[in-house]
Order: sequence, then structure tokens, then C-alpha cells
Amino acid sequence: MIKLKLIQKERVNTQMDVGISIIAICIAFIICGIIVAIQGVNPLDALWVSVDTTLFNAYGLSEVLVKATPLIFCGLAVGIALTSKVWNIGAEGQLYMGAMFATAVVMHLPTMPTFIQLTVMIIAGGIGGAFWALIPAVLKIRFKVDEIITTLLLNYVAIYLVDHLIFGIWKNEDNYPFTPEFPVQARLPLLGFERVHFGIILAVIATIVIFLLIKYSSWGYKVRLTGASTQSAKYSGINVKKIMFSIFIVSGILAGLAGVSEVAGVQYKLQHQLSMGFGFTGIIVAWLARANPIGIVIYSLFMSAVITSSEMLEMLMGLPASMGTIAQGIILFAILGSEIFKSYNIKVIIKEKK
Amino acid sequence: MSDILVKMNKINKSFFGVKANNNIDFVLKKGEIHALLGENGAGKTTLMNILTGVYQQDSGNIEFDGKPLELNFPGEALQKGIGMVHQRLSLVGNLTILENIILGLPSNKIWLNMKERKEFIMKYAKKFDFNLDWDTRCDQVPIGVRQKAEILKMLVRDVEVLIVDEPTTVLTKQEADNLLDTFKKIAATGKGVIFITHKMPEVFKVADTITVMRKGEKIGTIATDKVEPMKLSVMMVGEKEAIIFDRKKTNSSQNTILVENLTVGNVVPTVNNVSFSIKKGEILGIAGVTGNGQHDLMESIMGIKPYKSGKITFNEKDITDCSVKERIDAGISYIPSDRVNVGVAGNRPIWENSVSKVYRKNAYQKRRFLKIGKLKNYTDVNILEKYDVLHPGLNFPAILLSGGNLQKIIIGREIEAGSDLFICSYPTRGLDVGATDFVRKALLELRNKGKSVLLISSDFDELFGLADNLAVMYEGKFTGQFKNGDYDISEIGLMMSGTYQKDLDKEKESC
Amino acid sequence: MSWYSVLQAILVTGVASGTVVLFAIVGEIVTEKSGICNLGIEGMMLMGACTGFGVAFHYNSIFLGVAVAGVVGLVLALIFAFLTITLRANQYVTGIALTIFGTGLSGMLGEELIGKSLTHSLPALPIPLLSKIPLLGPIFFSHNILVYLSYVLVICVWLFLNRTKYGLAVKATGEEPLASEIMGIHVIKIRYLCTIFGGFFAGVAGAYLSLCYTPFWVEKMTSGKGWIVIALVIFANWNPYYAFGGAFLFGILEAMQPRLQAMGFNVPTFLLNTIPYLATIAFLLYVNLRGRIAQTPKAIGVPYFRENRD
Repeated sequence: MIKLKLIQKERVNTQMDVGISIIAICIAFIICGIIVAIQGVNPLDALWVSVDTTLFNAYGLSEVLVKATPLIFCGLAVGIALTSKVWNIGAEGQLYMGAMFATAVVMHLPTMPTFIQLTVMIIAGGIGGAFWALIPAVLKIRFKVDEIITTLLLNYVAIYLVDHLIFGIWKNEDNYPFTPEFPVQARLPLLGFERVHFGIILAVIATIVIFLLIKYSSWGYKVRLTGASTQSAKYSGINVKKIMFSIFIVSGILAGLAGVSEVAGVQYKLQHQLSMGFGFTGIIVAWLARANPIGIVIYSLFMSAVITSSEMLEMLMGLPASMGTIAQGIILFAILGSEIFKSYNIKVIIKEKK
Repeated sequence: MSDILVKMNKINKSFFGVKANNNIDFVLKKGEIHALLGENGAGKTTLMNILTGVYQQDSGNIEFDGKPLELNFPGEALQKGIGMVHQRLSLVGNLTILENIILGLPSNKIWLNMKERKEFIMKYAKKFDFNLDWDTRCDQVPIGVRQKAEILKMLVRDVEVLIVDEPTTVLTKQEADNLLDTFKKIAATGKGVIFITHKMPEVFKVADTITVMRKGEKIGTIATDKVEPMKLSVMMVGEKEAIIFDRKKTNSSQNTILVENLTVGNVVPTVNNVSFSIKKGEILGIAGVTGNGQHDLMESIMGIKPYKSGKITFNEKDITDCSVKERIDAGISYIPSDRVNVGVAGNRPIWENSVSKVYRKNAYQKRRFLKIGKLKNYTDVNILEKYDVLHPGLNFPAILLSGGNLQKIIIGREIEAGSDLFICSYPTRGLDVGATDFVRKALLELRNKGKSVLLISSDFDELFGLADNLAVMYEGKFTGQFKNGDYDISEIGLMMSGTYQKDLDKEKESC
Repeated sequence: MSWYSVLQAILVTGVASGTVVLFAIVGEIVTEKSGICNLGIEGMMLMGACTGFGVAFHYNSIFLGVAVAGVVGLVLALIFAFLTITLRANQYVTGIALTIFGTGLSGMLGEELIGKSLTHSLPALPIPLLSKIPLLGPIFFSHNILVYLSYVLVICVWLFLNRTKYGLAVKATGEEPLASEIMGIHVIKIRYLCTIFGGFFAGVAGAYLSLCYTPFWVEKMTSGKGWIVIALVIFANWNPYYAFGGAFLFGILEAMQPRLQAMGFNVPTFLLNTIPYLATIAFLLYVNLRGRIAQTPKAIGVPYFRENRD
């Protein structure tokens, strides 16, 4: 009789973990390759095209950065919540609210000079995201309602609210369901590299700020302690409710900024299907990176590269548009399945059956 | 056929290098109530967990009904006829008592006919005289009822061996007596009952045979009618190697803390109108069976649990409405019994856990950012070296430390915070001799330096050796408050089960 | 049209529309009762819708389509179960990954099916006598066989959970897995079976959507119904009968909008769409405020593994 025995590892071995993730990703690529081959395309060609177009091609590389921007924001939003064991499944909704609030500034306030206009929009977007995170925060802290479900459900409420506005009072003069294009003052400046905009710089700043806050600030220390043990935190005199509350707010602000960056940096108008599920991919990015801000950036770039390269494959090799989503799913499955090898050693025991 | 039901030979089991069971022999006969007696941490539960297959012994063998016993999955012991009721009951909260009892029963048909099932269960219930609210959900009945349901659950599976782990600690006296009678009825049907306990009176009431364990060793097995209580207690706690504690005389008249009429809990008070004071250089010991409100008392003094009424004065300042943080800053420290989850955050590094009191000080912060290097240095010098902590490195998670070293960190952290009052909850539970010694000496040293200690413990050595004054807690009330030495252990035992000090005095006078 | 016939038409469509989510809700109730929360419903429904339509289109058999859709849902749930139960991956994250995967794969497989239509459909089978009851007859008893099947499913699952020994074992598993295992219950096996049961009916739900309710295939056609399912499982307090009520209410909400619009009312469609979500949140709040015992399985979301022993 062969038995598998799992032995919990006592220490985290980072090099080993990275190795396991890379093996998992390779396995995922092989499976994707098989699917590509079924479509009648040589998987090696496809692989080469994806690498070539995303890494060695200016447009591809710029697109990776463009798509990574909202992912980094959302990943940070979910990640910082995870640091204190709060599940924010609602980054998608907070993103929509952030975009909606920023758009409201454009639609209902007079146009201001660029710098002021953008500052006001960014603040408004942050408030929008924070506002949407405030609801589950109050429900959890005051009424003990589980945040996993409430944040999940509020996503759709936010999406429908945006739909309500763009099909209603905000629809443009030709009756199309999106707002009129933003004036130039309300657009995040381009950085002179294709579509890459100022949002990526904001994302990098946010990453550094979050990294420093978590690692070095007194607040970050409290957040980590609360996440590791609420009881212990309480007895150390930490006001756990206050920390939780601040976590929701910061998380909401970050997701809201993702919305601002999309609407003011890429699309220049609020429209239906504003986000291609960045909030959800953000959850996965944060989980895979174990909430580490640097890891979030790396995984965001990787996920973004997968999405971008599949778009390239669609254009250049005629692969289906959904190939990117499929590849994302397969990579996620592979990495999720490999997690167990990071926390356990697996021992095979062969026993004589009596 | 012999009448030996279970035979365990030379059982050894270690956890992380600590011997929990050292060469234990154990024999259970049919129709016998066998008490497994010993203090907390004596290795009783470990031995029984080996018998039921929860743990695998390192060496030694077990025979059950004359055949070697080999267990491969949880639940197999039960199938073979060995059932154990754990201290932490394992009933399913959202099922009714009846559903819980029939859960997984081999005689269940696919379609459950609840009426027929009830009748089936009633046969057993009648035989052993159980009467339960069959159709009430398990999470809505008192713990005593749940305990009975759990025992009945074992009985309907026709177990030959019933093991019950400390069943009476959570029961009222009446419930406990009732339960002990039940054991007699069960044994009368030829089953063997193993009864794990640390209470001697119960042993004399029901047990036929007693096996005494101490610190992982078996001290001996004797028939109940051939042993004197005195001798048994010596077996249990060991020859008193007169622990001499250096308790200097301190006579300060100044109160560190004054608690007046404290009541916690809205519907049923868990702490009921409790008043006491601790002076500088004084240790107040609180004796009592676990779960009589000690936990809520501590939490309310720390400010974590809100209280209904009462007043707390600390260092002549009213702190009744202060937050946890304000109380910590005023000088109250807490050393909890759950070290890994409450004392520290087990998964966080050692240094983070060592500084959870000092990080807020200005010396370790600059504009709300922590001076990490300074904090690590503090951990190294002021905690790890000073308190002689054996550790793998200060960036490793605290959970990797042994209990003793963890407790050193926690106590060191609290002492360094410079508090005036130390609330300690079972501070030596689960520690080895060396660490226990360290903790006790540290507490005494604090006292001698003029600090105050509130010591909650179930270890009488500790209470008698350390405390200046004692209070006995029973169902949220103090049944007695007196100077250490005024009452002996048996009198305190009576107070722990609800007799008031004043009634005791009256009885004494009338004698 | 009289108000009576409008009302009747709305309620009839309400049942038909509610059936889409009902299948998936009942399946997810069983999954969650065993302590597994599968957030991948949306992905499984989409795959069911796509493969069901494909098979029915190519082989001209709606029943074959429904069956294949169920099996596809089951296989996806099996992947989910393997990852979360055997490999102990986080259930929420894996569920979201399953939705992403299902959305992508259905988009690819369904590319050639867009714009196609079926040559035949399931006929309505009014049940003799019952369908003659005024109002109730047309509403509940004049539908196609799949709708009746969903009624049967509701009753069967309720009976299963509350009247059989296996149901008892499922409920215990979702609450106290270790205690259940000691009582001789195979926790791992039960969780696997309950998860793939939920997957099967999520697939069937998708097939009902693309084969009977709409009936056509278009990418992402579930448009968030998979998440409604998650909400309604909670709203139904994990009870199949309440699930029927919840699904019916949701169906009415869906059916009402086009009718009211056609009658010239200015309905805020999108705001109405938020009602199921908000109602569920309000319900959760109510349950917590009143201290009423919600039937939330205690061990939900928590991976189970017995103590490792030699």
C-alpha cells in the first residue's frame, strides 16, 4: 500500500517557492500549448510570437504596462486587506465606483486647469472606492457580517449603478451608452511611450508607499499583528476595530485609483465593461504574491503579459480572443495547485499490506 | 476468556523531545471503572489518545480483547469498540441531539425513519437512564446535556471501552454526581470505563481501580479500597520537595489596584459583584475550577471585555472607562495562558512579538515610522539575552519556540514595559521544570521589588508558594478571600465547589 | 391586454427565468452544506450553456445537450474539488480562477455557435388537471419538462438533506468535519461528491439558459447570474424550498422589466438589477441583528485535513 504523507514545513524557503511557481507556470504553458496546437497553430511559434511581441516589441511592451497599471492597484488593494486577514473580493466594484466618482467631477464640475482637474479627479476616485469599501467595513465591524460575501455582491451593485448612469443622465449626445469624451485637462498625461500613461507612475508610487507603510510604519506593524492574531493585537493595546476600518478604507482608495487610472488614462470616457475583471485578477495576483507589494507588481506584469500576448496572438495568428482568459485560468489552476508543495513536504510511504 | 479488555505495554510517546508518556503499562478489566488520575500535563490524555488512535505511540504495543490493536484512520477505534469523549466535545452544533447520536450509525437505513431511530436510541437511553431533549439543536442545550449526549453516542455504538476525559470540570456538583452514577450503571453491564480526572473525591466515589500518573510517568495502579486519600495525593503531586520561595516581608499600605463591585455579563453574570485590592509588593492568587469567570475577570480588568457595573481604581486613578491602550500605558501587563495565539502572534517574527509593548515609545519611532534596527537591537539585548531565551534567530516566527522560551519572551516583554500590575493566567501550564522555575522566580522577584501580581492558577503548589493573599472563585463570585495559610487545601476545595467562607467559619465554630 | 393577463405573463416568465438560477442554487446548496464554497458557478454555467448548445445544435437533441452540459459542469467541479480538497488550495481564489477559466473556454468553444439557432425546442407540456387551476396552472404547470425537473430536484434535495442518512452526513461534514470523521463518515469523499453534484447542476442551469430560456448562445451570456446564485443560496438560508422562492422572485424581477418598459413605464432597469444583491446583504444584516440562527455551515471555506499520522 502506498501512502502519501504531508509534513508541514517549518520554514519558508523563498528560493524553493519561486522554483515551484516556475515549474507550475511551465506546466500551465504546456497545457496551453496543447490547446493552441488543437487550434492548428504550432505552439512553439505561438510561444515565440508571444515573447517577441510582449518583450521585444515597443507596442507590446507598452500594452503590458498599460494593463498592469489597474492590476497593480487592485492587487495592492486586495493584498493590503489580506495582510490583516480581510478578504476584499470587492475591488472590481470599488474600481467602478472610483471611475464613477472621477467621471462625476468631469461631468458636473467646470473644467479646471490640468493639474487641479486631475488632482480633484484622483481624490474623488479615491473617495469613491473608499465609500464602496466603507459599506462592508461597517457591516463587518459593527454588525459582524462576513465581508467575503458583502464585498462580492457589492461588485455588481456598483457595475449596475455605472450602467444606470451611462444609459441615463450621462449618455452622450448621440445616445450611445457612454459619457462624452473627457476634455484634455481631464486626461492623465501620456508618457511618450505608446499608450502608457501617468497611471503607471501613480501605481509605482502607491506600491512604494504601501511597501514602506506595511514594513516600516507603526500602522503597518499594527496591521500585521492584527492579521496574525486579533487576540494578541487586542492585548497589546491595539484598537483592532480601528485598524480593520482603516484597512478597508485604504483598500477601497487603492481600488478606486485603479478606476481613475482606467477612465482618465486609457478610455477617456466612462463606459459599460470599463474593467476586464481587473478586480478579480487582482485578488489572484495578491493571493499568489502572498500580499507582498513587490510580488504583486511582478505577478501583475506577468498576468498583463499573458493577456497582451494573447491579444497579439489573436491579431497575428488568428487564435481565438478568449485564449488569454483560458491561459490565465490554466496558469492560476497550476499555481494554486502547486501551493501545497510550498507549505508541505510530501513523503511517500510504502507499506506492506497485511 | 480472560476478563482483560485493554492491555497497553511499555507505551512511549514524545512531542518535540519532551516525553509525554514514558514506558507506561496500563490494564483495563471488564466491568471496571478505572480512574486515570494526575495533574494537568501528567500525560493522561496523551495515553488515551494513543489508545484511540489519535496519536501513534513511538514504541510499545496495545492489545484489545486479546488481539493486537492496530488503527489506521480516525474513527477506526470507535468501530472496534473503543470510544472516547474528549474534553472538547465533538457534537455537530446544527443537528439535533437525536441526529447527532445516530450520525454515522451502521444500522441507519438510507431513508431515516426518525421514529424508529428514536425508539432504537431509547432502548439504550432507558438501560442507562438517560433523559435528553432529543429534538433540540445541540448548540442550544447546556454543556452537561451535551456531555451526556456524547456518552450516549458512544453507548449506542456498543463500545466495550468508554473513555471520558475530565467530564466534571464543566459540570455543577449535581450534574457531576449524576454522571458518576451513570458510569456505575455502564460498568455494571460489563463494559470498561476509563475516567480521566484530577479530582480525588470523584475517584473515591466511583473508581474500582486507580492509576496515578505524574509528569509522563506511571506512579502506580491500586485498588480504590486499599488506598488512603493522603497516600494518593502524595502519589499524584509527588513527595513535597519543600519549595522554598524567598518571600520577603513587604508591608505597603498603598493599593496598586482596587476593584469594587465588578459585574460582567448581561443576562447571566460571568463575574458577579467582585471586589478586591492588591497592594504594592503583593501577590493575589485566584483559585477555582477553570471556567468560573476567571477569564472574564482578567479581560475586564484589561479593558477588553466591557463590564456592566463596578469601579476599577489603578494607582489612585479611576480607570473604569479607560481603553486597553490607556490601561497598558497606566501600567497593567497581561500574561495569558494561551501563549501562541494571545501572548504572541505565532506566525510573526520573534522580534515583532518582543516589541509589541515598546514600539509605541518615541525612542523607537520617527514620524510614525518604526526604527526597525533599534527595535531588533532591543529584542536582542533587552529580551533574548537578558532573559536567556534559546532561539533560532529573531526573524523566525515565534511559533517555532518551545513553550518555556516563548513564556520567557512574554514575561520579559511585560517586565521591560515597567508595569506595576501583572495579570498572569496559568503562567506555568504546560512548561517543563526549568521554565516553571524561571516563571515563578520572576513573579516573586517582581513582588519583592514592590510590584503587584494577580495570579490565576489551578496549581496549588504555585498558589501556596507564591501568593500573599488568596481568593476563591466559583460561578463568578468570590466564595472566599483570605490570607494565604488561613485555610487548608480541603477547605479551599469546598469553597471551589460553592461553599462560602463564612459558612465554613460557622461550621468550624459549631464543631 | 388586461392587467390580469400581464400579471400572469410576468409570473409565467418569472418561473421560466427563475429556473435558470434554481438549478444552480440547489446544486450549490448541497456543495456548501458539505463545507465547500465554490465561487466558480458563473464559469460552470457558461461552459454548460456553451457545450449544451453546441451538442444540441450538432446532434439535434436537447436532452443530449443538457446531459453533456451537466457532465461538463461536473468535470469542472472535479478540477475545483481536486485543487481545493486534495491540494488544499484556497476555495475563494480557486473559485474565481474557475470562473475566469470557464468564461475563457466557453468563449473559445462557442465562437462558431454565435448566431446559430436550434431547429427545435422543448415543447411545453401542460400537466393534466393541474394546469387547469386558474392562475397557478399556467404559472407553474404549463412549462417544459426541464422546469418540472427543477421542481423535482428541489424536493429531492430537501428530502435528501433532511430525511436520509447521507444528508445527515453531509450536514455534519460541513459543520464539524473532524467529529464527523470520528463517527465513521468519509469527509473527503462526501465533499468531492457534493462539489461535483453542484457542478453538474450548474452545467444543467447553463444548458437550460442557452437551450430553453433564450434560446441561443452568445459569449458571457450568463451576465452575472452565477453570482446571483451565490447570493440566493444565502438568501435561501441553504434551504431548497426557500431557494425555489428566491429563484421565483428573481425570475419575476427579470420578467417584469421588459413588460413594464413595453407598457411605456420608465423603469430604471439597472437599479432593479441590483435588488437581488442588496436584498441578500439586507438579509445578512437582518440575520445578524436579530441573532437568528442562520444555517451557514460552520466549516465552510476551511480546508479539512486529518492529523497527519504515520
